[in-house]
Amino acid sequence: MNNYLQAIILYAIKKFQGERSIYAIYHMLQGKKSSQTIQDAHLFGLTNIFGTMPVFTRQQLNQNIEQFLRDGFIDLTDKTDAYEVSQAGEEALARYLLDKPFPTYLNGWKYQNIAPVFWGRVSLLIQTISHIVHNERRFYPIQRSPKLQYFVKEFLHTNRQDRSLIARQIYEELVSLLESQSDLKRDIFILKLTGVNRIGLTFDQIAKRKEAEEEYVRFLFFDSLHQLLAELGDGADHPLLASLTNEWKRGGNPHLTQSTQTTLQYLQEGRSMSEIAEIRRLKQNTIEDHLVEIVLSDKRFPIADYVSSDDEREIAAAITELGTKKLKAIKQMVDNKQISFFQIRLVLAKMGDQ
Amino acid sequence: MMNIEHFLKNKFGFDEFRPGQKEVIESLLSGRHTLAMLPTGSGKSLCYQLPAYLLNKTILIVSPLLSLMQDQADQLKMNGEKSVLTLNSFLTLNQKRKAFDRLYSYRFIFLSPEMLSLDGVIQALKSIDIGLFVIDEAHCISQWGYDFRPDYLNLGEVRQKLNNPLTLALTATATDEVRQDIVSKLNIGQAAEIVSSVDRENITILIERVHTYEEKQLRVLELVRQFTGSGIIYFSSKKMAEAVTVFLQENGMESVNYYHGGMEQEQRMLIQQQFISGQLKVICATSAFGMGVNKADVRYVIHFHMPSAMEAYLQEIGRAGRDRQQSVAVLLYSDGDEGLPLHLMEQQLPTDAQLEGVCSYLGSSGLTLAHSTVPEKELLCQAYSLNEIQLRFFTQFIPADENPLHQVTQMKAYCRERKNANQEKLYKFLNWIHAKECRRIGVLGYFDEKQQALNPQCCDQCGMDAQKMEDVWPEVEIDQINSNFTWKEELAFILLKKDNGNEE
Ligand SMILES: Nc1ncnc2c1ncn2[C@@H]1O[C@H](COP(=O)(O)OP(=O)(O)OP(=O)(O)O)[C@@H](O)[C@H]1O
Ligand SMILES: [Mg+2]
Ligand SMILES: [Zn+2]
Repeated sequence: MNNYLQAIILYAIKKFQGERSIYAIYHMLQGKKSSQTIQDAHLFGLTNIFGTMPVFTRQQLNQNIEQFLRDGFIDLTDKTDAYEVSQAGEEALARYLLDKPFPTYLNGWKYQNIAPVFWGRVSLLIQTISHIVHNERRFYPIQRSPKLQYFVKEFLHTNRQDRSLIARQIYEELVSLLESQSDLKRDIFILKLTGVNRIGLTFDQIAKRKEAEEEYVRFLFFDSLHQLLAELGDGADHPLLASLTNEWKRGGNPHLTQSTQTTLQYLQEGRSMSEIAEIRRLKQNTIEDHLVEIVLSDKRFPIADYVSSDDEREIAAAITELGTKKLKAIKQMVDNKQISFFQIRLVLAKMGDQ
Repeated sequence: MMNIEHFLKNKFGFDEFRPGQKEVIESLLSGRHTLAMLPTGSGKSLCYQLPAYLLNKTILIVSPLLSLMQDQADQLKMNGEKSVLTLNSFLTLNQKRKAFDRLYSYRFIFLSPEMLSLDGVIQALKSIDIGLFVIDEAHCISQWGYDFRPDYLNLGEVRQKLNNPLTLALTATATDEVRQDIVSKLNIGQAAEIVSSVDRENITILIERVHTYEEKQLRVLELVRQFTGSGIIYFSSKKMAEAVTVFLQENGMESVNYYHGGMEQEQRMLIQQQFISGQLKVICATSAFGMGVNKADVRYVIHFHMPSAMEAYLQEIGRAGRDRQQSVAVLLYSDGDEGLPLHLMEQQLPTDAQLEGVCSYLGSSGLTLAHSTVPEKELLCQAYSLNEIQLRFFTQFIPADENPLHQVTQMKAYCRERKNANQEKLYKFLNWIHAKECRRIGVLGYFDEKQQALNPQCCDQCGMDAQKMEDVWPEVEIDQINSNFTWKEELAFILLKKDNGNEE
């Protein structure tokens, strides 16, 4: 294995156990907002890498798959484009992860939407404050998005206190949060920052300086951001940094696709699935996908309207006994004509990836 | 009467006008449409910035590239101007709505040409008092220019819809033919033309012959080692830019990186800003890097690949020496190098077979490109192996209400004409490379200019070479970056002021 991306891909193939085509991996890493991908992420325990490679291409995937085949790391299964990790592959992966352990805080499912925005805000705020504190009026904002620039402008408008106090507070909050991170992770975070005295480094440049590999540096950076976000928590200890994430706490569930959000609103108004399908001119199937997505993101969402508690128990028992997530096998096992694939998917979603 | 020199000093902090600026500004203030051709880096932007404060009405500026637009808006903002709007497709709906509500209040509005094809935008702009309509890089309007942008073709019509506002067309590189085209397309018949020489006398022009790829790479390494200041190396391929970067890094040149359109936005910005701030010394770039980059002390531009026309060459070497200090441009040529630009040119317009295929397909299926979906377009591209630029050609040139089959002959003729014109430009440039006369005289000849007073550091034909540059260009201070700090110290340098005593 020669780079971290390969390790991630192989890891995903391993998790899929030959039950999904490699293109599911592609969608997973890209963070495709489709019900299928979202369900897969939960079913196969891949929520951590979901959406962590937004610029991943099919070509990259195919090249790596060919490489794996040549190295004998994977074997074709009887499904098209689905592979299983071979013994040799398992060993190579384990060996590789030994000195580059898998990022433990990575949670793409939870943070892939907000982490880049959070980073954009933090980095632009720091650049701006850095210049103000050092009496430099002119600088070229390193973040180009008008949305981010507007956010920082508004932030400084509402927070009127002395700029050097804000700077000190950012400094202290960041130090306290980064203190608990690994040496390499916090170095990466700091090297990426732009301030009055220097411009941040690219992943490639950091990799050279740290004699690490570019993809690994990228994943560790996400890991660092995700850890920061997780530890910000309710913001009691880090009010300033937490205030950069305020609207995500207030708004609805940011992990649902737009269309699913709409379905959820109708459900909360007490509409039935078929009513919603009709109002929205969508297929029943689509609304079913939305429901599964809702249950995935909120395991406590009541499903009694769609599966009786007896059926739920029966399905759950079959899943546990079979130890598989294959819908067909589960359906055969419960052997009850009344139980639909949709109901099985709901129960699977509720059980999560235990 | 307002003294404009006074204004230049007060508002912009410059002591005097650079050649051409005053003429352009006075022409505009007297109410004449103006076409200004001033060399790269000569301060064309000032020609609309200064009048903005005297006319006291909104100035519209059309720019061909998003990045260029943003860079110019940022430069204005850095100079303390608050009232700047950039209208492009990246604004959120909310931001757009807000902006539209108070369009009248902006002093500068930057727009991409495709924004001007939206009726809503035109309607909104009609409601405000436009003091000046500026077309930057105006040569893009001409099909005979080297950088034709079909989006620019609408600008004449747009001008009319906006009630023919006072207009300024700016360019650094337009031949006589292209200048006439600009005036007629914009329909500003009585425009004053203020044309100064394209020559940048502080840039020494060198052409060196090498024989192999390896030799070229080694020569770049030698030059980069020898030249002390900041430099840009231009490539026609992203892959090559990356490969040579790695080669230079492996040979001990650490302060080198590449820049091209295929990079993520944030990484691209970091590299660009590292270069501008001097943290990064050398950039290996495709032509995506350049326009809008206003770094004063770029000392050299090296061409690893030849550009496809004299105009492109001048734009690219024009990144050097904007501080007016001695700089150098080195073009490395080996036999057959013209193959690459010829090939790239081929791909910019559809072939006859593609024209026939696509038109008969569209004709028989009744599909219109203007209304077709992304998958439909993808299918078409696959079937006729069209690239993005070729597809855009069809979308732009086949009006929705016409039968494409009736246009095949016309389109073929058009493409042939454009291809011939492009090739002719390339061969002219190639002739210049092979010529044995002074490079500068060759450049001036291309633009039908008379010979000017020559700089003793003129060109290879006049006896200059890379070795001698050492004696003529300014010294560079090299500051060492010490990186042996802990992460906390680094963060403190960024956020805390030294005298606050943060070194616990
Ligand atoms: N009168 C002046 N005196 C000193 N500096 C000036 C003057 N006018 C403009 N400049 C500076 O010259 C630099 C180049 O200006 P500008 O970007 O307008 O060039 P340009 O002609 O548009 O170049 P290009 O053809 O590359 O777009 C800027 O940094 C600008 O501030
Ligand atoms: Mg300009
Ligand atoms: Zn000469």
